[in-house]
Amino acid sequence: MSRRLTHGGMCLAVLALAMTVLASPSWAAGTRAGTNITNTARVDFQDVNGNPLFQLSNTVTTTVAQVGGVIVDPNNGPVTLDPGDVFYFPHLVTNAGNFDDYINLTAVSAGAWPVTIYRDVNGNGLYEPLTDTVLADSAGDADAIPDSGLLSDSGPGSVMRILVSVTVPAGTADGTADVTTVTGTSVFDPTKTDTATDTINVTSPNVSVVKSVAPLGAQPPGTILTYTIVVTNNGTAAASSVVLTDPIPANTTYQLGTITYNAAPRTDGLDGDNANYNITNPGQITVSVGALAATGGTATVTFQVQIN
Amino acid sequence: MSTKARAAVLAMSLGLAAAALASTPNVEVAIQAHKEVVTIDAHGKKAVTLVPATEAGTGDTIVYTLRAKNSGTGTAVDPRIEDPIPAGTVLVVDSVKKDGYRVEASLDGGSTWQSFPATVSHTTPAGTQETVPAPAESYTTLRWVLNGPLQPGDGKDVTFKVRIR
Repeated sequence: MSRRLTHGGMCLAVLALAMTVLASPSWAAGTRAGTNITNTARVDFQDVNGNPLFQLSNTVTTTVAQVGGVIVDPNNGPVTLDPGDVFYFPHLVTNAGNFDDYINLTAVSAGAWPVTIYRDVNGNGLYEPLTDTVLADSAGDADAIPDSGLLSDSGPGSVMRILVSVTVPAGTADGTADVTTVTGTSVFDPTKTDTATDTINVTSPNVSVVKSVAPLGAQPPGTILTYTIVVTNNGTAAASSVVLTDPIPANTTYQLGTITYNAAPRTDGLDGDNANYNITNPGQITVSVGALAATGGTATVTFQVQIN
Repeated sequence: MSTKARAAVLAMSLGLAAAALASTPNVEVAIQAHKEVVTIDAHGKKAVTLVPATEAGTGDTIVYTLRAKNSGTGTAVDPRIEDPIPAGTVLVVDSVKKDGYRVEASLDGGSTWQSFPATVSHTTPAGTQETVPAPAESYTTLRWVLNGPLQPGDGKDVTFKVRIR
């Protein structure tokens, strides 16, 4: 006996999922590197006759040195997806240092799922294939790691936005969770890093088939056997396009017109009801079950054969 | 005039002449900037050394030392050392000491002065006025009023710390 069950393939992730609104960026903290901090003091005094006098001191100068800094936010999710889905997680990348710097960016899925970083060119948090580009390494630092581009230390030029796409591989088991970690690293000072996470929970259908026969036990030729097949979706996502096929067992003859679906009769021919014998699949019963709801959606097929 | 009287007049005129010559005070003030560097030796013992602060980063602390010295020939009366908090830095309020002088603070660039530490008036959510310590970022200028005059050759040091924004 063989059974083939299929369900619907990709469906795009629902963009209506509540997306975290990106907080307004806090500009990079710290006096810009190269700024001179100067100090000149004065002393006022009088002579014994009360004449006012004063002197200024020398001027000391301290030059502000460069420090690196990175902020990557927010953490996104959890988002619920089906196997095969792709989701685009938005992030804000900030140069939190005190001088112009490049921020190298990487994104790694814990389950090694396919991940791509895009530059969100118009900064709207949505992936637009004609506008958004795959993040590249800037010629300015040329370290073969994709980066933010040169960001200044303050103002709107100190931030940029990315979209991290994560693809749930086909066949991922129902209930799987995955975290993609996005890391920003200051090129000036690689010890300065920050991370943000994107969390996915996978739901998928999980369709099982149970077949039984009556009467049980050894039977003589001529006995009419009734096969009952129960198809159930125990997964946490709905199944669609479920098709049940079952070959007529060797040494038996199918009894015409005996297919039932959920206790209602079905014809053997290809006539618009959801079952046929010997046409879609020669020598087999074929039933288009269609959709099965999550967590217990079920359908029952029966047919009869006679032992030769 | 008796000998005693003549001697007294002579002494007095000498004294007046001396007073006319030894009259000009000249207080100079020199400023230095240092950075605190913490080193940990092989035994894990911490030592803090001061190095010249020609370069420093955001968050670093600079120690300013002001040395006032009377290099003149006369008494300097009521000497006061004044120093602004440099732009790009914030005063470390508890680094200001009051040994041997009265310290004053300005929050408006030297227009008005109050005793250190400074306070500001604040309206509570309930609508009442209360006096609270002035935030460190609001200090613009400090002034040290030395207790007593500086004689020729006398000197006095004051120090304070700032943190680079």
